Amino acid sequence: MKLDSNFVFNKINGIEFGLLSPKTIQKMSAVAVTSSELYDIDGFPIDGGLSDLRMGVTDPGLTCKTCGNTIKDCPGHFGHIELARAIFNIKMVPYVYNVINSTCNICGRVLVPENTLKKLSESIVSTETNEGNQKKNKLIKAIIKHAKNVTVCPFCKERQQKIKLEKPYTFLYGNQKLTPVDVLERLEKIKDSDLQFLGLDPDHSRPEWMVITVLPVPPITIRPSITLENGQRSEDDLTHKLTDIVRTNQRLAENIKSGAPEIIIDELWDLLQYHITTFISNGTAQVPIARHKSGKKLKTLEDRVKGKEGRFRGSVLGKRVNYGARSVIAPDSFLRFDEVGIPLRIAREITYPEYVTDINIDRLKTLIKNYDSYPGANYVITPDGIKKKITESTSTNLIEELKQGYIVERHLMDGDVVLFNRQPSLHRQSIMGHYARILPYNTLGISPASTLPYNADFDGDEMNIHILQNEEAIAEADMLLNIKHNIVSPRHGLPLIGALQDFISGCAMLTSGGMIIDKRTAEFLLANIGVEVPLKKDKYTGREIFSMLLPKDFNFESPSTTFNITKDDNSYVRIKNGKLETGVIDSATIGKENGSLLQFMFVRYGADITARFIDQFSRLSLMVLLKYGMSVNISDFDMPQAAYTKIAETLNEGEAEAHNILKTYGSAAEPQIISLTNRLRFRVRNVINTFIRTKNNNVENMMNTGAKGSMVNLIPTIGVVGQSLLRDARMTNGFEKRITSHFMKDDNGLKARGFVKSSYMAGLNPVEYFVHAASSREGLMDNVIRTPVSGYMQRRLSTALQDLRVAKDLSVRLGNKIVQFTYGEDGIDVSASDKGDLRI
Amino acid sequence: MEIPEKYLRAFKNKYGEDANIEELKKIYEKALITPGEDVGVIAAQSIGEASTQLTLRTKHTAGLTIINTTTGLPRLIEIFDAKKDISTPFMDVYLKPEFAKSKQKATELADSIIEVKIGDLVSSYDISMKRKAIELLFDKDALKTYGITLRTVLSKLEKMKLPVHMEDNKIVITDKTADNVKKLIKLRSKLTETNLSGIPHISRAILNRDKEGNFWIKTVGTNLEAILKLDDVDQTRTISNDIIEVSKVLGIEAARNLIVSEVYNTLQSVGLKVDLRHIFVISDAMCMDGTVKGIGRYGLSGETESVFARAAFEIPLKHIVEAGLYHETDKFDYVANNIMSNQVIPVGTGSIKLIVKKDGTEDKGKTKGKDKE
Repeated sequence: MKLDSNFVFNKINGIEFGLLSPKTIQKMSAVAVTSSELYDIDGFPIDGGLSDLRMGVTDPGLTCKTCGNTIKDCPGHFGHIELARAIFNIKMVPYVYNVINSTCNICGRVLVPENTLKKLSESIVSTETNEGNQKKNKLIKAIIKHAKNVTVCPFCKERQQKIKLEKPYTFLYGNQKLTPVDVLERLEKIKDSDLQFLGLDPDHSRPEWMVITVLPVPPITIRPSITLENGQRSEDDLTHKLTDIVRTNQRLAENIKSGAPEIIIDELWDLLQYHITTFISNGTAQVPIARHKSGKKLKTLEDRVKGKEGRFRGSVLGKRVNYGARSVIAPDSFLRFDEVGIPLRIAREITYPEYVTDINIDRLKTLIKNYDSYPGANYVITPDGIKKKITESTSTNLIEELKQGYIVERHLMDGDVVLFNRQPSLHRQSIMGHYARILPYNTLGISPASTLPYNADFDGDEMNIHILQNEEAIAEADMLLNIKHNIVSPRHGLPLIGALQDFISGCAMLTSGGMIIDKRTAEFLLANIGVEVPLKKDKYTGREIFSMLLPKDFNFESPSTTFNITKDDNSYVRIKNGKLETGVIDSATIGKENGSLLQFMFVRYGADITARFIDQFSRLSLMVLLKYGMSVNISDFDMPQAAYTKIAETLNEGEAEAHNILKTYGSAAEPQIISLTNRLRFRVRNVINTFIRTKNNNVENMMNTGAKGSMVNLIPTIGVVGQSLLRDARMTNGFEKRITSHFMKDDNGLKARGFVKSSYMAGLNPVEYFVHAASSREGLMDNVIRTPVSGYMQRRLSTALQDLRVAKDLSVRLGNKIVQFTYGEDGIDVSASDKGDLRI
Repeated sequence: MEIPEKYLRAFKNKYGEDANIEELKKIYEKALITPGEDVGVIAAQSIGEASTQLTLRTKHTAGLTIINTTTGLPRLIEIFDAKKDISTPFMDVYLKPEFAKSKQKATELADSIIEVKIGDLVSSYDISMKRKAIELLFDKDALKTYGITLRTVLSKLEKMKLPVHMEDNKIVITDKTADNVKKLIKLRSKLTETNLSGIPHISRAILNRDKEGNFWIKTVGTNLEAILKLDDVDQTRTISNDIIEVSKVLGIEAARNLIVSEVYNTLQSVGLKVDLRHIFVISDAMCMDGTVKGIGRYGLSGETESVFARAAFEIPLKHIVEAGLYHETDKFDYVANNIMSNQVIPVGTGSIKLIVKKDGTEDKGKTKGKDKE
């Protein structure tokens, strides 16, 4: 492979669009298709048939008669069919309608007075140059709209009769049907100088070119026939449609020649129109859909282009790739958060092409030697571009041959940057750079700390990796896409990466204030996180140990989650010169989508220091938990009998209250009852609060530190599940005037309309279970419906805004138009800010 | 970049008037956005990703009395589509500061703006084909509560140049040209919609009171232009939630600010955090050329200069056919078309050009900043 061939020197600067004139079609055609037969008896393509070798080859062994290339290099060539009679192009019909209606029926001039035309001509040119194509097209549309309603031609003074369009493609002039030939005649009459007012262009889009007289036949390469196992040929849908067109066209030509009756000719003409219409677009309104014998819809030209799997969105904007892998993910707390654990089997399969240099030649030679073990290499590419597999027989030769300019496709190794992705890719943090860590498992490993941006969990989720294939890509992935540069989200300026569950519990335990650690344990903890500090004291506090992770000049103050709940001043986080003086480190400071400390450290100290800090405290808190233990018992949820009595009383009172409300308000009671059920839940909450808060156990600790769980979870677990709502209202119906047969008709009391009195701990009775399931199911349905709705909204937002960018002066621009003079009114990048503000 | 007043003030308040600005400058410049950043995509993703967590349920109660307002995802889509007829239009009408504390004034205003139509007062219609007439029988109680007399109804109808007269307590409208029932039915529905008092489109007005004891009115239905003309109304604060209406009455800047506040509040009400800057980008793009444009097929997405970008979004054949007819040129200076052709996209790192001579020396002078020939 020559070095130069890696670089592209030509760039597409623009693509012009226009209509193909019949002459151009003939000129670019390699063959005039005249036969509807494809192959002769020997199975060889017929000359002038639709598989003519002049249109390209799809069979191995044959050569193209036009370019002389074989299947690999022949790009395919167009053919053409001379139509016996002109045919409307279904996609052009609305435009043909506009053009013939805004020009004179007799003289073919645009129905706008001469002097106005002159002015218009100038304004069309000026709009196009000043305001772009889109504005010009709007102006044209306005001209056409006006001209359509003119009744007298300003040039020949002839009265105009409006031509009606009967869908799909019948034009009516009064009662007379206009055939494509008639329309063609009218279109040909339009002067070149008038075309600009219709938006057309004499060189690129003459109006008569909108009507098909010569049909281009697409190359065989885009409609290859496949040979089935039994030796039978199966043709592409396009070829099928084209044979119909050729056959009908032949018959039409013969009948015209032999002077057949008008009716027969018209019938064939209509049939030809139908075939060509479905060839272009199989699914136009009021045109019957063309089908296979089996009843399957033929996939013709439009179907190939449109939609998610079409050419644009399916083949050209996004495509399948090599050097990717996919597997189930599993949590691995001992991985750094910016690593991804890659199974050995994957690492041996997907490779990185490394250029041989003086520096790495010895290493690469060892890799080639180790081709059948790990780390090894799979292929060597010579400077001529020849790819050689490394095998037992070739390895020694290749090692000798290897020199600068060679490329070795070596196995993936620890420290390589790979892209890691989970679908749905809703934001840019759904695909980030991670460092590879080759491990002897079959799953992709991921640190629990980095699950949030991917929205991953471990109930069977699968994720993808992509191995980058050149230095430029690696540099960009490492410096921009790497997960450590994306700790803080550009959405709200909060860290997406942070502690969760055990990591928070561990840190909180360590820094809660009461913990004294002896020297041996301190050594154990610090050795495990790679902090090397001489320990001079015999005993350390937990906060002292934690402080060792912080930069020496770190100053920070913030309330902790614990402080917000308990209001204990000792748990307010105060860090002075890298020393944690007071405060519990919990979810408010280091938690994901929360941690103010992480956010501050990221903005002030940068990605690397923050990344190291996250890894160290994660490991530290695991070690703390390992050393001191933390567990939760079902009895931690128990409350004294008094509490249960209190709750039961509250609920009974509530039922009585509901009864009263129903009596006084009658039919208008619903809103009152719903607000009562909310009040009841709140009262129960207060009861739970007074009893559970005094227990001081691990359940409470988890809630206070934000590690897991909250009152929202606790109330239905030990208190009351509460009202089950369906469409924001209490349940009705199911049976006549009641929800189940367990209740009396017209009973509107709490229980009879879906109030669940029990708690999860106490257990739900069957009716309660049923109503609870009903409202859960509503949530599931809502979720299923919502996903595509919001997905489409995001697609529209992205396509509308994808071209906006910040210019050098920090203005936001779309092309050459200014959208904002300063981005966000102050030019601040959200991910570099303090929740959208500056921490001064 | 000059430091915005907002941060300058905050800095001086904290460290005193003569504090060293250099410190602030360092913080500010560190936080500046990188040129080339594709802020549009970031904004779209920030809102799009957040919206997957929004509810589909539309109904939501607001204020002291129950009014249904569209919230959540449907409202968000409605805003971004720049819909003309929004599903739950309402206004927040504020009184001028001098009357704001007066309950009487507020009640009067609320009562006076509610629209009363003939249909609200009529207890029965009789269509008589024989007489070619419609007889309207009025509900006396309704007349009393709205304080409307038959006389005023009559004069109103006379003003509409309808042949009308009174029989007992009925009002009879004759239409001699009516040759079938359909015509009379059409006339009847026109009559029921006839405004008698109040402001058209406002069906309810609910009195509210804020923490300072100031009264304000929430209306169901909007008619900002008419409300702003009232004397007691505070023109500076009264607002409707209909973006298109606001853009017509108050102008494009007001519409832009309304989009910002509506999107922000919709997200805020379910506790989703999205920075204002992203909402600014979207609303500024929507209002870029003086009219409010939606983001969809008939708005921003359907109007890019690039043929390929439009074709890739929706209905590709239509865009390609029109491009051919109108002889358009795709200049390949957008994102989508460069992705299609495997070229460097003009945003982010792709917007930076590095020029090095073939022999490896730095190229100084004339080709600086331009493409390599």
